[in-house]
Amino acid sequence: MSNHKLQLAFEIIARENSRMLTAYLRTLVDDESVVDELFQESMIVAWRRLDKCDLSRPFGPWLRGIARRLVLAHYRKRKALPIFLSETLLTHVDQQFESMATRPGDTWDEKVAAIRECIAALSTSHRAAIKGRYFDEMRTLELATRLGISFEACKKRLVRARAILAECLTRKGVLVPWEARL
Amino acid sequence: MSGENHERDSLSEWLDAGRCVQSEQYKCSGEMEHTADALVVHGLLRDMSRHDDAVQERRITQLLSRIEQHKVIQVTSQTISHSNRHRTGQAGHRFGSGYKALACGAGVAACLLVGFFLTLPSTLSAAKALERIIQSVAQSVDRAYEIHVLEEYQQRRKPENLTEQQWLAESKENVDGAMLYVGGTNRHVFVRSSTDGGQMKSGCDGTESWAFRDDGPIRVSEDLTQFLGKIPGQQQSIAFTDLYSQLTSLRDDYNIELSEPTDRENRIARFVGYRKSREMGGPKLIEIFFDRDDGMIHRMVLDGLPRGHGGPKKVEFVLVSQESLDDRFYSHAFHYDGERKEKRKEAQP
Repeated sequence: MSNHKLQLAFEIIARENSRMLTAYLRTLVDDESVVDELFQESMIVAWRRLDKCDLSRPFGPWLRGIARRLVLAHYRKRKALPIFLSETLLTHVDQQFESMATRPGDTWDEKVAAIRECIAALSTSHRAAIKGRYFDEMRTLELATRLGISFEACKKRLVRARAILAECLTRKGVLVPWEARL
Repeated sequence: MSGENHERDSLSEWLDAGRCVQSEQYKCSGEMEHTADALVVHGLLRDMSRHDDAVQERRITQLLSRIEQHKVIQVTSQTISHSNRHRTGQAGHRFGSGYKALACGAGVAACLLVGFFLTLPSTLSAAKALERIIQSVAQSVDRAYEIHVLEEYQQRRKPENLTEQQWLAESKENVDGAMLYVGGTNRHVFVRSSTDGGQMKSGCDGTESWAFRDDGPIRVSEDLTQFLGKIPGQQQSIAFTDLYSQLTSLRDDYNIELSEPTDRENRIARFVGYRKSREMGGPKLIEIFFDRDDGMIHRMVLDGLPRGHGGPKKVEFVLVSQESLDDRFYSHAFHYDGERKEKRKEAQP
């Protein structure tokens, strides 16, 4: 394949996987400028190492593998690697992303559209917690004040709300049930 | 699945309380899957709330522009080299008589930079200068720095914060005359001699890190930070060879100052960072002479390096080459002939 064609092919693959990669990075990194940096770096490494990629297999897991190493390197360099970010946990996260990526739908948003229904199905108090934390970008302490509950109670409510959303996404087939995992 | 108590406290501390949990209290257990699910849900929510089509398109455009830039550099490099691969002894540089290609490549690069130059403010703030320097280091452009030791620690009395063992330790690696090749955020090769006269090389190609002595096996790891190189100043929180992290630490951990060149023709500005606290780790002072237009570091001085486990007090990095290197230069296989025993180390989060 000529270099020009190779670049065009890579552009198509990069576009197809860009939303997935961004969501993956946002799962593991909070700082949006770091998400940006790691997005560029992952794609550039993928481009440079394209000759090492088995193109008969899905591109997504390979790209996430690159991103995973860069995320770990990012935290290690800053001596800030959260202990729960183990290889095992990252393997589970990867399985869930693969499950989402293979869902029906042309775009990433279509593949994960069920999350909107799951949010709508939350109780009022859980929905308010999720809305404040994620869509209004509030810190937990601010959110606790808004909701009129303690900081610890607010944390627990968020934990519970995310667990309910995970259950809902599993029922809808977006996430793999843990019993079915390797 | 009840959902109750599935998300371990450490994850919640990280997601909701903004605290980094690094204790050994968190162990892998049957709850790992639920923690992973909670993290995925967090990622999906974060992605939903932050997604912006225009920003995503800019990411792709920026990526394609970087790939295009990478190709220009590659083509220029290949034309110049006449496919003549040089080993590390010659720094892996591609030499030749392709001046036209070089001029052409330089022309294209100049065009790419024109827009950037036109938007330059007449004066730089220290913060903007730092971002420009960081941006330059992050670019996939090859640079070679020679390292010189400017000052050694005097053997007077043992500082209170060091153990006897740390105080007496001698580094087995010789930094003076070492070479550091940098090709972006996660690509580097560090070549230095050992005190017994051998040579040591370590590096990272963006997908794996590696290290070997000239007479030893190749140690390889998927952990990109595994062989960053610990000298000088093994107590440093940031590895010596990791220029990018060294510079990003300046954002928060140092008080920064900028001295602009007095005449417009002199483009080299001086940037100084003073460490805010001993607890931060890293050198006391970082002095950078950089091109105010493109952020390229021409000389960098690290003064007051942590002294545990041996190593000098003050070193300088001097830019000696900006020539493009073979794309395989950052992989270990480029640096030796034939087969070598490889020891693969599992990544340990």
